[in-house]
Amino acid sequence: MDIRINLLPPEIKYQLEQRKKQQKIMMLAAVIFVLFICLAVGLQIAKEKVNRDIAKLQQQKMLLEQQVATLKPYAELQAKKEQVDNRVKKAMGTSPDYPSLLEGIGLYLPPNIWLEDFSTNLSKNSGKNETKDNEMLNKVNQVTEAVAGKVPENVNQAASKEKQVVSYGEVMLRGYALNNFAVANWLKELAKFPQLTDIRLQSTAERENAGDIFTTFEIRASLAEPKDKKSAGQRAGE
Amino acid sequence: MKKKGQKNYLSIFLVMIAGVLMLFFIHHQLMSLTEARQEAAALGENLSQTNVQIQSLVKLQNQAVDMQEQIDKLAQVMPEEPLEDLLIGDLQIKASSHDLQLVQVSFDQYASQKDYVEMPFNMTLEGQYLDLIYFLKDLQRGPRAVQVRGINITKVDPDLPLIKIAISACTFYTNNK
Repeated sequence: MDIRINLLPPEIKYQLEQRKKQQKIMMLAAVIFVLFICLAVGLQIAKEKVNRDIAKLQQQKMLLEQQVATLKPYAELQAKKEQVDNRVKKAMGTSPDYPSLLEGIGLYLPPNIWLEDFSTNLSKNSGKNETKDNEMLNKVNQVTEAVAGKVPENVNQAASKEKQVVSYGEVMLRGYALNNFAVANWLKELAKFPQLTDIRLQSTAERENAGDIFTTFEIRASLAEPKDKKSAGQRAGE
Repeated sequence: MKKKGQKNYLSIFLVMIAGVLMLFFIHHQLMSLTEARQEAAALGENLSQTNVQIQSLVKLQNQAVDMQEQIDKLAQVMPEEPLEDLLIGDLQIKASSHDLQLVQVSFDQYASQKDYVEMPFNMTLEGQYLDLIYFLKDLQRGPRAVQVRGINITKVDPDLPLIKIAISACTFYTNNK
């Protein structure tokens, strides 16, 4: 049996206990201090690494900026091209596709219609002519309705065209036909032209020449600009 | 005993000060690390944007020849001077190549706009209907921009397929040498 008896006086015992306590506190403080040092060093290393990355990125940025400065003339070239392009587009605006219109009129002109005069004019306030109270005109319009059905198809087409396009000019067609039916049919054909809208028969009149009776007519229409049409400036610049 | 107690209090006070200083130091380090990381991230983003810019510039570099050609073409479409002589010559060539007779060309007063000058002109031609269509198509192709503003076609002779065409048109020049 191992019996240990401490014969030291109580003051010395207390001092020893106090010293042990102090040693424990010192150990704890040392551990905390070491942890702090580790944390501080770790943070410093991380910061240094990030700073090195920043320096690298700044170097890369400088190189890229030099590259951008070298390539800058090409951006200026594009800006110049856009400027010239926009100037031409602005000057030309949108103009009617006259060749297509004339081609269509020439191609689909019925054999019983003879054109004598064709004129166009670009203006903003065209195509607003009111129908005259003319007996002959009413007659022809009735014939048109009879040809096209109760609700004339061409009227619907013209109305839908007017909704889609902007009128910016006027066309005037003068000529003579065999009779009013021929004029009515011609009006129906004209309504199919995408370049024309708001087609109005201004007048018809029966005339006699060398024993033959024929009908003269005058038709007015507004020039319409199809949405997908390129301007003449674009065509010339292509 | 009293001295010992005072010593203990002093130690605790010093330890507390050391702890506060340590916390402050760590906080400062953390803040500066965060700032550095944010700076790096901003730089990275800036670099990627610059890279995109360079890519688009390189594309433009590859298109430079085409762009220059287009600029040269557009300089013909709208030259820096009126060049009426070239315009008349071009109209004459186009009319002749489509069997049309260019009877008359007259210029109206030029109108200055912001970036360009308008040159309105009128021309009278004689020929056949189909030739007029080809002439107008040719006129649209350039090289100079011509805006046709009005066409008036009348028959010259009822028995012949000959027509008289009056065209009012407009061309432009930039006037900025």
